[in-house]
Amino acid sequence: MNKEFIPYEQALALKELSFDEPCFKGYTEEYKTLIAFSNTHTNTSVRNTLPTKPFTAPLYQQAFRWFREKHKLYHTINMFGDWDKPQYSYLVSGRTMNNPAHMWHFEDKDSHEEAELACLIKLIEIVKNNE
Amino acid sequence: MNKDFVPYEPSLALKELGFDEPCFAWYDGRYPSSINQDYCKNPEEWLNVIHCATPTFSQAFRFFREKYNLQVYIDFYHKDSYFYKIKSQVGKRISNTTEDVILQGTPVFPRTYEEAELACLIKLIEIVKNK
Repeated sequence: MNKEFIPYEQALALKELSFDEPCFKGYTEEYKTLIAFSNTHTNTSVRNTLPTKPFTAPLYQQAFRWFREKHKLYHTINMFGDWDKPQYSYLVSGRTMNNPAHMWHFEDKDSHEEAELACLIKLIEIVKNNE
Repeated sequence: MNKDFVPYEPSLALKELGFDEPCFAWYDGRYPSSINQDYCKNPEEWLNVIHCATPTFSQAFRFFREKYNLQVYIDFYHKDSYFYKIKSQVGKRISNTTEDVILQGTPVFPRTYEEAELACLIKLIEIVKNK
């Protein structure tokens, strides 16, 4: 089930962007591997639970929902090409304070999961650049 | 985090279709609106016929992608509405690519991404059951 969770670097970036939703798992800065919480935690509630400074590991779908709801950034993952060797692209659209026009970004990847990660990295970059 | 999980009826349908990935939660069929957040996997012995593991939406869509080669595309349509498309493969090859077929588009435009996800998932289940 670990592939449902976003990687360490992106989880840390989301924490810095004030992501604070309840999550099942987290990372610590020391070990950088997923740890299971006994109860769900937010970044606020988990802060003082361990000396290793854990932070939450959102599910991909949680992270994408957060970008939709908080930043009005919408994404899609689409398959194209030969079904024997499918390619996946992502698309991000949205409006931000500094850029009122729609933005579109896409890259081709070999798997749905790779496209999801590339899309997440792009969403983080867009929000960081508009802060 | 309940909105991350597939509701009871489609979760039970997924169990009947052979979904057996480890999940973060399960349903007791006597209380179908209440999610029990414990690790669970179909078909564990203690899960009787009306109980089932409940996947996240992301897990459910991966199941259809990997097991049935059904690809899903969900996108923002226009102000406050979404749409989905389900793609599958047909055997006919045209110049080194395989023709896609859109099995189902959105009959109505859901107001939220989550409604579009659920409508899409119900349609996927229907498509596989009718195969």
